[in-house]
Amino acid sequence: MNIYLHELKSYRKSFLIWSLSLVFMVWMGIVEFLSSKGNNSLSEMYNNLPPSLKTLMGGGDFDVSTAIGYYSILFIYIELTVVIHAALLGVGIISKEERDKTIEFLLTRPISRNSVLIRKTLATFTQILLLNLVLAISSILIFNTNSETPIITGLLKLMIGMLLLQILFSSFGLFMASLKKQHKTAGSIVISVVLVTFIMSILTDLHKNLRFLSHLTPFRYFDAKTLLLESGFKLGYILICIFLSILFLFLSHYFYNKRDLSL
Amino acid sequence: MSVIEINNLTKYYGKSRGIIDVSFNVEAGEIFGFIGPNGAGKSTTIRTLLGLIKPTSGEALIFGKDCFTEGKEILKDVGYLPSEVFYYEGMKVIDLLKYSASFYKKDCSRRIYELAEIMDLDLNKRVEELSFGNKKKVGIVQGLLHEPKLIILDEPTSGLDPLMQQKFFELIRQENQKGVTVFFSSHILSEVQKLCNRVGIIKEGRIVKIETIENLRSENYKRIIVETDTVLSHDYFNIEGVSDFTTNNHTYSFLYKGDINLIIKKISSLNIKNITIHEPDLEEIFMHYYEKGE
Repeated sequence: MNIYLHELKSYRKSFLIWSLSLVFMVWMGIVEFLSSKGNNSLSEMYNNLPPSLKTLMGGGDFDVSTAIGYYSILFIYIELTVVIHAALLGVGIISKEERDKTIEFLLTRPISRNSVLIRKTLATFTQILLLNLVLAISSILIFNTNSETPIITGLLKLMIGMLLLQILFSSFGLFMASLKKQHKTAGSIVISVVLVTFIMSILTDLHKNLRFLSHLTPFRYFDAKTLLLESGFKLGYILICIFLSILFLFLSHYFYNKRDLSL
Repeated sequence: MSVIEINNLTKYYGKSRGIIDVSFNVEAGEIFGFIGPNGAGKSTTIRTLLGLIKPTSGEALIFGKDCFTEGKEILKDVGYLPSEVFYYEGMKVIDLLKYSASFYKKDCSRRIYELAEIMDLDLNKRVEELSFGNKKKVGIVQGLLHEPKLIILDEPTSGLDPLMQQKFFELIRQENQKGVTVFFSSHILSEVQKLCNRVGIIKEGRIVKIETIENLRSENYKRIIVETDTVLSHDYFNIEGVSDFTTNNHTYSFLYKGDINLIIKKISSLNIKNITIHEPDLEEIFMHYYEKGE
């Protein structure tokens, strides 16, 4: 309990900054949305965009004159931000102890490495869930009140999908930080994986013959187009996500338990 | 009963040497000095004892339990003061100490204030505002607040002013009188000499000697300095028991351990100008172990 609370406390500031940035992104979105509402210019412009540019904005044939349609375009970048947060948090919560050399203090308390890792994992999950809620609530408050049709159902779907990605990438972060002795290496590997899979998700949309790769990038599992315009959640993808998260968490324990700590 | 039991402990970091085949015991209630030059393997040994690193081979036991796999149980009764203290920035000293105390299932607050008083520590400062010496004081309070049965000290006095060093030694002595075992690692001989009953000397990863301070002193080493008026052959004093041999012009200086008659006969056959024979100080004996084999 003490480690869990200690972690939450030490992340207060950083969490606040991430939250505010997200709310700001959403708020910028609504400002733009409202300014273009009423004249159809925005949706005309969007529909006339070349497909490759559309892809960069989520790729779907969204009706950008509706709040949820507009939000979906905004969403892929919000999601990328939130996933980066989750991944960095997963790496950081483990590796900061070695970076700041506080690991010697922590692990000379009477507590097993497993317990340390479990508490840190819980603190990570708490924060990603809270960030998800902050985003969900601020989006609902900001977008829903400015939309004729309620967007809550669609939005909840997006948030659930995003939460699965957050769990997946933070678990991956925890795993890499437990595996690697050098905290810088772990951090750069994790960020590279986030960016590569993100770019992959756009490329697979752009080139039809790359489509088979879309199974390899989690960003395609729960994107707005699939969730809102197409088939919705696919059980297979949910299971892959859960399976990989559990695998990463399991491996993080395995490696953290047996490795030398860098001091 | 042995509090610490180390059997054939070896640790390699990849290919580089940590410690090789280290074995010794620390008995309950003693103050054991662990001495050696920098890089000899003192910290490696301590980190293995604390379960921070995994031995390549051999075993380390504290209270009869394995240090790497049963650390959680062991550490309940171990207080550790690292050579360099690092704490969470942004925390107040008192919050840090309370955080540390929260890991032990007992009320430590009385002891925190007691120790802070003795060490003259300001509890309301933030960790990052503290000087090196003050951080060390936090380390001392943090290492003792749960009233451990074994105290492991890794170069504890660096950064402390002489007055604080004295208070600290007093504190350690008091704990020891209560029956607490102390493992004291240092490269400063005088403080080990002051405090310890027994010492282990480590050099280049290997234990070279384990001896009581008393025996070390009474081991009958003599420092002999002879001045002659002729040049002696290079190996004149190359007999058993002579070590640390240096020569300067016609002056020959060495440590001798063995039958005093032998060496006196050897010297008496020379035409000497001057001679001094005295007890070497402990420092010299240690240097002798440090340098042996080089």
